[in-house]
Amino acid sequence: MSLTLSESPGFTEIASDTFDDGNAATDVTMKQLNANAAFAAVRCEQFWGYYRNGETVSLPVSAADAYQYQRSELIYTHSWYWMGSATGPCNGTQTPPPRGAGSGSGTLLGAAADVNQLTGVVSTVVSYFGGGQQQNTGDGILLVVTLAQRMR
Amino acid sequence: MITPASQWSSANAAPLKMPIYAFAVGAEALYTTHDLTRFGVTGAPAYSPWLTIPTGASQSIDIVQCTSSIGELQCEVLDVGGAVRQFVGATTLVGLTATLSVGYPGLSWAQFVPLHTYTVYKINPSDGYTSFIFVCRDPQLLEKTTIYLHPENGGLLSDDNPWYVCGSPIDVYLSVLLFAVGLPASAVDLAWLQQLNGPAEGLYYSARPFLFRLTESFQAKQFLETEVFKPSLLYQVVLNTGQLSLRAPKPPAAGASPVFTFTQDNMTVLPKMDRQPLMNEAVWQFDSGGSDGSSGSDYGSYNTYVEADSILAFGRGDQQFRVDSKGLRTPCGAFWWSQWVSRRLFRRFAGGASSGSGELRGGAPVYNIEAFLMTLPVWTGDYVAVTHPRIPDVVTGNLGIAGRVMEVIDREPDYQNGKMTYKLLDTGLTGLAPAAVWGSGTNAFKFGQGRIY
Repeated sequence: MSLTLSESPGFTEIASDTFDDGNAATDVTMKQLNANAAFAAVRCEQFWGYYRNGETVSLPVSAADAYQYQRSELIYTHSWYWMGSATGPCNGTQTPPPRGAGSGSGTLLGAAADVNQLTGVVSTVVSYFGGGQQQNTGDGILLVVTLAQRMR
Repeated sequence: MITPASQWSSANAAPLKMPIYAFAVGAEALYTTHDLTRFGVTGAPAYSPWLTIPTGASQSIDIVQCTSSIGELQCEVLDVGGAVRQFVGATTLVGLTATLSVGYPGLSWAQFVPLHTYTVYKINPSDGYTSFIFVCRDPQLLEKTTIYLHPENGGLLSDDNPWYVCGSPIDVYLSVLLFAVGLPASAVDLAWLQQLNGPAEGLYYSARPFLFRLTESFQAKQFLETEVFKPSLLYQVVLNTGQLSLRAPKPPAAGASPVFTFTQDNMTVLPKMDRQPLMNEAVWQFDSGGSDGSSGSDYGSYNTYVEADSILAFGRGDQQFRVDSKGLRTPCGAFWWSQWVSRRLFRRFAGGASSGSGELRGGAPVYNIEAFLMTLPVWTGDYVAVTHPRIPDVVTGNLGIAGRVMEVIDREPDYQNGKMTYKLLDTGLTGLAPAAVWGSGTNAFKFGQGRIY
């Protein structure tokens, strides 16, 4: 069963002396505690999807409370899914995309992939060597995992 | 509640008494209604006994919209031998602090109690020019200032030079008054505001729901009332010392302790009764321009609360509580905050269906009370008790109420005729226990010993 919150909790720092003996125990404090506990549950979330060269990792929305993440709250990690071409846009699909043919000819020379940590733009380069020269292509499909951490 | 010296209280409680009023205009002049020396008042500065008994200044609170009226005090001073005319013509008085005080024969000047500490607004001669009328307004007048400069750098407020204000409602209130309006710290009731903001009250100490990004000029009073007070159910009162203060939508943690009891002995007529409108729906919009307030003027979050018991009992109220907040932010806890405030609203105005002191069976009762002058220490925002054998009890249907705890939301003096008029709001505080308190030692949690009010 998935975690569902009816409200976005937000974080409220509760000063350590709030619970000193002699202070009032009020409904405000209880609500803050409840919100902070809920916040802690969704503070870090992970999302994933397939992307090809040139696409931008979409801003995720929490399935728990529909919180819309901002770019500054995200970091990315990736792994190769396919070094050939993509047959169409991927844009974060979670359905394994079809594997297209490689667009270069010759021998596979090398491959590089990156997800820009500031912008979320995916870039892939797959290089071939044939006919005495190097050919760089934009082939490749990555499985990108987004690590989301709410900043407040 | 005005807290005078015991001698003043004794003189005020006497069945036969003669109040002496004194009107001071800065340190420039002191006008009194009586010859102080003749009536045994010692230690008074130089004075002129030319003041006619003033009507007084009222203060009225809209408890749901969280607005407060600006009080106006008119003091008429007889122009004996043209002295006042010459004084007014030779001295700049507008803008000075004016204080109306009251005392009784035989008291020392130091025991006189200030009733209103206002600012001189204008001075006009009366019809026939036999006297001059000093028109004074309460310090909320200073909040009518339009803020257009950034308090921190002096530049114009704009998209390129926004003023970020964040924190609890008390923090924002103090930031606007002290930094933007430029009032001195002595102009606000700092001790109480710090207590209200502190851990002992447990209300706002950890609550920091507001993050304003102010890029346009704004009027301080309007901003505070619509953007800070209403989303927090706070309202502003002007104390008799002229200090600005706030009252929270719930009693102090120690409980709603009445400072005065109205009875058939100090009321002059049977109170008129009315009801506040039922409020059982609250609509909130917040996250203006996105949760970080970075751009735009639309609202990112929309939330509604309804009091189901109240709607089942009474149907939908004819008014909705609506807040369109530019400062509440989801990351700062706007959801729990709006839920808490709505709960406080329903607790007071949804008809008592969920209150702890019995069904009010409708909107919160309001009592218009006329009372003797001796009740004048009672102040707007005070909790008072009402005991009267002839007032219908709306909770039980019996005749007579005893010790009903109510909140003063309107205070209208009539010093000329020696009577006071109050509007008292009954939101079902009677019998409500004070807040539970954190314990110490091995029995640290004591929720079982009291209610979280």
